[in-house]
Amino acid sequence: MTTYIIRRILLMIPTILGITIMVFAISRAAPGDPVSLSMGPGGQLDAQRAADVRKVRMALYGLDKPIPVQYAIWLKRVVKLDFGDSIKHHRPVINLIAERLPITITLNVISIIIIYAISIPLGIFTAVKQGRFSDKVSSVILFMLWSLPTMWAGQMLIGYFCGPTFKNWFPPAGLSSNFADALPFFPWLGDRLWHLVLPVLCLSYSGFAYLTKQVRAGMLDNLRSDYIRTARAKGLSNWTVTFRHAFRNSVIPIITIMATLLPAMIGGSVIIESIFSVPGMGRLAFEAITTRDYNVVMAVATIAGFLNLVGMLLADIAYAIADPRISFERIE
Amino acid sequence: MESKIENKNWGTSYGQLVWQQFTKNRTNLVCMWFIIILFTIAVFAPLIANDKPFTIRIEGKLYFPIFKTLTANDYSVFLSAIIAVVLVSLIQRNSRKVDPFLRSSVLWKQTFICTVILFVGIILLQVFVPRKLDATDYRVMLASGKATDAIFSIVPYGYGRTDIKVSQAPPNKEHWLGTDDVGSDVLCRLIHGTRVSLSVGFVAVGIASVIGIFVGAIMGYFGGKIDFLGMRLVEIMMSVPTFFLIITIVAFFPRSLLNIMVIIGITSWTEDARFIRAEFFKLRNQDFVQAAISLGLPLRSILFRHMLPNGIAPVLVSITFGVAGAIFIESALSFLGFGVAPPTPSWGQMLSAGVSTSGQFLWWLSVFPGMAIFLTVTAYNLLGEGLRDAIDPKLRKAV
Repeated sequence: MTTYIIRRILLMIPTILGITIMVFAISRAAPGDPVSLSMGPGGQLDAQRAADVRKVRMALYGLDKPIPVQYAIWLKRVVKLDFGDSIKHHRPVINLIAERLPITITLNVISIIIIYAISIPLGIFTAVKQGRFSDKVSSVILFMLWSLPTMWAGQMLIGYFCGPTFKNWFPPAGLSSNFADALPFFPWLGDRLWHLVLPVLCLSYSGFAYLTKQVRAGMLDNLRSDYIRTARAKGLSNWTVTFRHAFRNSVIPIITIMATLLPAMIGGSVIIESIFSVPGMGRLAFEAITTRDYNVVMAVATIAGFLNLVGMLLADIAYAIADPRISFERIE
Repeated sequence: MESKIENKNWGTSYGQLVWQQFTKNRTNLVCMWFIIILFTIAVFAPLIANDKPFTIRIEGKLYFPIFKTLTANDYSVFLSAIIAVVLVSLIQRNSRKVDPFLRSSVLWKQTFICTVILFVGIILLQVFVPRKLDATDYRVMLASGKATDAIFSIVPYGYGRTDIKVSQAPPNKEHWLGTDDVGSDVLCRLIHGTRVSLSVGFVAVGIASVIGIFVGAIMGYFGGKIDFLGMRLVEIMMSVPTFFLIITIVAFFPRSLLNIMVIIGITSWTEDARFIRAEFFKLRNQDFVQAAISLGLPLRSILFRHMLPNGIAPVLVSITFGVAGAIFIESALSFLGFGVAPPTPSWGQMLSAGVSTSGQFLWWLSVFPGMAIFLTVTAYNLLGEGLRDAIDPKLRKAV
């Protein structure tokens, strides 16, 4: 097991390198370089002086070196988690991210727990009731939820439940009320949860619809197979057949679906955190792009990729633990 | 080249079988017609919603202002639509009248001729259609009695028209779906926004599938080291959440419709590449491919004439889902303000005005554009599901 995990982690290294190369390449392929941006159109300096200033500044930022060398320098700093300073906040980017990453991770973890907690029972239920009215209705609703655009759902929720126009049930923005810091623990927690209801709802409904469909499909697959017929023929109860036999076999592939859900959710947190003004990493990315804060953009992209890889690694390990047929000695 | 025999029974091809399966389902047909109608609206948007009248009589003389203000781009879009309809009807005709053995070469020839006509036509239009700006307000002329006999289009507003007097008006008799914060008509902007959404879906997925099919075909055919390197690239692309990757690129590059199409295209080809690769792995050892190789056919012919038609089916499904994804991504980008520049209407950008800065919920600015995005995305997703069921009946129970 340990060797499997170590191997799996070692295999991640080239991918992480690839991510950094890609992010760096995007930043360098863009038209215009930081120096010309910072110097503006100019006009006050004569051409010779401007060229000199430009040369000095290029040397200052290390932009006069060949691209691979620039990449190596950048990578060396990234390994030490030094992404430079944010132009907008005048602080090291890594501090900003350290503040905001926990919020995004909390949001995503809560959502994933909710997704799995609801969709596994629901998927089993619809699979058992396959073809009945309840199954048909739920599959139509799930399909609509799956294609419902997040920003629309979020905005309708805010508009209807958080505004002066209709109901005023939930706070429209932020993670806590103004007075929250003065509260004792449990009221504070209640306040936090009250703020989290809508963002978590928005973040989870699409994945929930997707996962329920997958659970249903997996269950149907198993319910049709021969060993279930054998189990029924033995005279086992319906409950035992469904849960001890079919469910156990269909739940294992569900773990790997995490690998599909996770990137969508991390990406979706940009939209949701922007709509609900949640000060997480997605919102940081959104602000960085509107203010053209390039260091932050590069850092956030790298870390989002890294986060996603870690999530996939965890899903793989969970899969390996859950499925005894997987041998830890071989990869693939 | 063309066979003269009328309506001969050649049996049903694989494509026709899939088509029969596909059209059996009523949902698929409804979605297909919905998308066809959307495309029609997109193509004829300037004729459906325009503040210039079709005809107007000024001092006894008849004018046609709407046709004067149409740009070369509008005419090019009309031409492309005509060519597309011609191509589809040619394909239908071919399946009735042309021998199956000649069908693909006949179709290639027809496609080539159509493309040439299209390009020549577009170049001619761009050169010869003059660029004119007609700032006359014909409604004022009508009201003052200078002009008579005006026939306006169904939605008589321009998408760039701003009128602060009627800003943020809920749906009423004059503005059927209300107006936004600068007083533009929502229905008119919705109709023109169809163009952005559909063209993003079309072009972005076109780019993605061309890259995906090419890379996937090469990986699947050669295998070995090329496959290993290609798969690492695919893995790296997939490990950064797509939306983060897209906004990273959007942050560094100038924002225009074309850029957004290209960005969505170059970030979403991985799925297609993986599907094609898997298919080519299976096809590689089949007899007809081995025969093509031993005949010494050029690589291009082996890959794209012999193998691709047999391996394209699963990619068609992923392409259909890809269109839905691209439309969603474009509207999300526009919603966040990273999309097309404001005078050009786009559904996501209209949606972003739904909650005003003072916290007021302008429901008509949220419901209608949101509904448009939702219906379009749903239609494409349903089409994808229907196509998958038609292609592989075994998969019907899955998902």
